[in-house]
Amino acid sequence: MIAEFLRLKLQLTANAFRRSPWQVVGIAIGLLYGAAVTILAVVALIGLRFAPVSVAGPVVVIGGSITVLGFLVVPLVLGVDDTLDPRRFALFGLDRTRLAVALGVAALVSIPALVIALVALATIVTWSRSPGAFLVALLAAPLTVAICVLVARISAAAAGLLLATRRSREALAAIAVVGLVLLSPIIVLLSTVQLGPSGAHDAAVASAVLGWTPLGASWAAPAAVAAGDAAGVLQLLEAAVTAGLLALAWRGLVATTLVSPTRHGRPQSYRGLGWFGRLPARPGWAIAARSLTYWSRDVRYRVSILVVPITPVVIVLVLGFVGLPGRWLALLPVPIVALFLGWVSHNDIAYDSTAIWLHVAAHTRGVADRLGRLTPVLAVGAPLLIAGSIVAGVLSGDPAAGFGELGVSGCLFLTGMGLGSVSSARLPYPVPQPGSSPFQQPNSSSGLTAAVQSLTFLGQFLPAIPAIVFALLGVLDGDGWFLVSLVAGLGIGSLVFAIGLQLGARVFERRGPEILASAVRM
Amino acid sequence: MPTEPGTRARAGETTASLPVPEDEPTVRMPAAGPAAAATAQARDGGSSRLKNRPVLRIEGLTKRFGPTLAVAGIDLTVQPGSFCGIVGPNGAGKTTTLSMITGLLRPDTGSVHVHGIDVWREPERAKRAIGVLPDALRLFDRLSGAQLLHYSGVLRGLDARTVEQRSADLVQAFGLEDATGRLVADYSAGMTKKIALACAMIHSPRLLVLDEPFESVDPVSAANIVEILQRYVRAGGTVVLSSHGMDLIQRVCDHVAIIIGGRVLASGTVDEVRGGQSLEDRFVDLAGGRKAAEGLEWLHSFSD
Repeated sequence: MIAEFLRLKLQLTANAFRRSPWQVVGIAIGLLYGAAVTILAVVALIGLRFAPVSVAGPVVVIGGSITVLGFLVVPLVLGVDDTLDPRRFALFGLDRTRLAVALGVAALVSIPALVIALVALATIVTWSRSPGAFLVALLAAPLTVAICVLVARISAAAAGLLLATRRSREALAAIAVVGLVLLSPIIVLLSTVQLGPSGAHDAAVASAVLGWTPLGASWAAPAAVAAGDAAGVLQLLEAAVTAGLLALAWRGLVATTLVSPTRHGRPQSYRGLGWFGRLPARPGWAIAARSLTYWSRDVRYRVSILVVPITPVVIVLVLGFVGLPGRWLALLPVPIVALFLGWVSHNDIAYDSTAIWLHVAAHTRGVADRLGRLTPVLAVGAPLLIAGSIVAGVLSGDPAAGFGELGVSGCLFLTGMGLGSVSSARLPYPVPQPGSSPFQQPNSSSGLTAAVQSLTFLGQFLPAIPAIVFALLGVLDGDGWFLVSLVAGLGIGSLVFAIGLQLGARVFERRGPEILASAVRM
Repeated sequence: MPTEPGTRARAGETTASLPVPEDEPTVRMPAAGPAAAATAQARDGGSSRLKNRPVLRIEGLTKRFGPTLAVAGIDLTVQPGSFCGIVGPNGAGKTTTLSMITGLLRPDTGSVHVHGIDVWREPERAKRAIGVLPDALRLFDRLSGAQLLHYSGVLRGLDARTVEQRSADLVQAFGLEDATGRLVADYSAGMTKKIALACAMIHSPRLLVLDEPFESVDPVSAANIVEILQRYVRAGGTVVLSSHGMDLIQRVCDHVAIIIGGRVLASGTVDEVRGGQSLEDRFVDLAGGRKAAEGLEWLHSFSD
């Protein structure tokens, strides 16, 4: 049976290449990236063979512990491929233990498992300093691979079991996003840690602690023996026990999964018509009400809107550490927010999936559709950018700079919506299906995605160049330029917006059936 | 609005105020041009010429997907006030044909006229007369049932008061009173079908094009839907539906078309098409006869 499962997994992996050329290109890029990371890690580990144990030990233990943590967390958040989800074999009536073993072995045939296997092999080289350390490293390497693969399978299966309902999946996605927001300052702080003597001391302490946790034990055992510490044998034992317990947990989880049907959440009830009751009963307003409702209810929109405040925070923090003066820092966030807010709607139709048929069947006016969809962005963006520009001007020490700020961000915002009106009607690209995790990559992502994203994103800059130049002149040459920037920015922005809206509306009306056809294909 | 004499009392209680097709489009067109003249004539009670004008005329419709010719030249005419069933084996091109009628899928060649209006030349006017229930397409399912009905009505150009009134009637008629506040994503398959059907009717179209309206609907609800549709047809509306339920089509429809391999192999009144046989036998004959159920002998000796 193990051979059957290995063959199945190999076939599934090979089938990934039997898709469209663009997808194969995407997979090839992924493989190259994985290969580059692997080669870097392997070369570094071989290089550490010639470093003193006091350096090599902490590097391997800390890096290794983070890797194991990655195997634990990534499947939870990303929901890795579940082609070999135990539940799929529930109806074949297979023995649980044998199924657990077969699935565990088949999990070795995957790119992450291959990478970790090569890295684990390289650690044997790192510790080939004495016969004892070599022997312990030889025993620890397969344990490392087993722990990583089992942890990933367990966390994927547990996620499948616990997060089977739509609502819990959405909750997790929201938690993940908030986690990312909270993590970004920590990453910035970490990047500023001094790599001096005190840093080395911190690392030694951290690795000593991690070495006794299940995360680091298999990495720490050969390091300890190489340093002449017999405790390494105990750590090896701990790693073996960890792997054994994980195997038992995996077996138990497979058994539980086989007899647990897919769960369903308790439906929530809504009263009245919500936004539909508050806005006029005209097609454009109804589409606006629908968009507003979706922005608040559909987690895929929530994720894309949450990225808007994260990016400027991260950029400002990083540039602040680099040493950009505060006066310039104050002027940065608002245009960045404007850029993302304008860009957010550039693929709006794709989020409807095939439900767009309703608009096609009713022959909805293009302008009503385009404007309706932009309503949430406009309602949030316009006041935010105006208030933000005033605050940024004051913070920068020159309130007049607020005019230039509004000129630049208004232009980016309006241009983005204008371009988005056309691109969302003409070039919708695949997105996660309604109800699935917002981090789930769509099955048929292609070169189109990257092309549309970069074209619309970069396209926003070109019309904003005059406003940006005038605003810079304002900072360097005198406040009068800020007003010129305001007029130029809002003027050009409005023009691009109006043209984009009309063009997008015409495309939408003409290509309704084709838009639906592309949604069906996705 | 034509009313029917002697409406049955029980049915009247639950479905009395359902939207029935009006003789003029719900959304008024500018009072000029041939359309206005046509509606004016229709309002006069209709000359015999207009009464006989087919509500749906399909000519030479074809659609190719890559190497497969999904629809290979379909001609079909449906008269107003008929209840027309379309049957065919899986993959025969039923859904493709219905999508081209409703303006959701662009045909390669051929034309579709609804009430004399070319669907693909004047989609805006033609689509007002059509109510659509597609198969296997999503709904805006993050809306509650009430919101989805409102959205469908407003997109079709109805005003708030009309939408509210008709929504209430439709919800009652389809027995969805307890479900209007829930998200459509949380509905069962049968309830989803019913809310989609209600959305298709809310603008009182002249022609209802329903793809598999009874799929995963329980028998009681199906009987209820049939009754709603029959009342609609008696009031002058036209229903074109596809189904795999031969008994149901034989019982409910007055016309039937059998589509196999992208062509209409038989069409006419149900009695004409079945010619003394049951509709199911006639259909199986046309589809190439029953496959002889041989060669599965091992299935009769159980392996445990």
